[in-house]
Amino acid sequence: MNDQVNNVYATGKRVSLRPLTLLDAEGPWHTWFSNEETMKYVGYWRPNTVEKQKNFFRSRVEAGDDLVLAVTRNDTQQHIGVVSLSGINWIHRYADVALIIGDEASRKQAVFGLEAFSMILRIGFMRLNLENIKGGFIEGNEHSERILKAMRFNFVGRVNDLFLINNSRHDHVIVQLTRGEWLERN
Amino acid sequence: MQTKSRIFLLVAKILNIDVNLINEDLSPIDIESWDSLKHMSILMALEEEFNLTLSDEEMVSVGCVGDLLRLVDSPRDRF
Repeated sequence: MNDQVNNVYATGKRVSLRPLTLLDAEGPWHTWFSNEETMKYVGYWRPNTVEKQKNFFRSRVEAGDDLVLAVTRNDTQQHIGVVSLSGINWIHRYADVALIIGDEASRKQAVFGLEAFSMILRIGFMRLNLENIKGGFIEGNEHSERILKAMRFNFVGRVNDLFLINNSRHDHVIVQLTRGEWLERN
Repeated sequence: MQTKSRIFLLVAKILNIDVNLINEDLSPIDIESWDSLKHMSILMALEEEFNLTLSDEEMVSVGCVGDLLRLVDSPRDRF
């Protein structure tokens, strides 16, 4: 546990980002992906287990080129979510951003997710030197839409009726933020 | 109208509470209706009301009503 707490990759006012470890799979992390409320607008919902989470860790976090980090609260060191830059293309310098705040109490307060999102953008543009960060959300996911708007992502398109949730079709909205646009504000 | 009054009104309207309940120390911990969606709405309404463009760092710095006041009152060199 001490290794996890001390191995901080980026620290903000209220949250820190640190590498995930195999031990995290045994904590709350794996439960978020079985939770209907958390996964409603992720477009993927199958029962998750510690073993499946460990497999994900080994194949995507440890062996892959994705940057997947644990979001922890500075006041309690509690692991509340994950934030990632995946599909990193080193030639064209772009990646896809994603954030899940799995801890319900922390999700209710925007400050934690907002700060984690802001930090991963800074890492993407300033440490990884990306030129474009893409993202997307399922139409109706107000949390994602507002965070992306607040961070000045441009809405560049949508794939109509891509997701089927509770027998209702939803568009996939595609967003993008360039390094230049981000630098203008930061 | 003073900046403080405008911010108090803005927050009260979004949280749908009496403006007399608003003070500088008020934070999401104190008011159940101040959830993550309302928090984002407050930030965006603040930008619109005072014609501001907040940086990521400024957005993240907001933890209570007093922080909104400080953001509006702080000197800016980007305009």
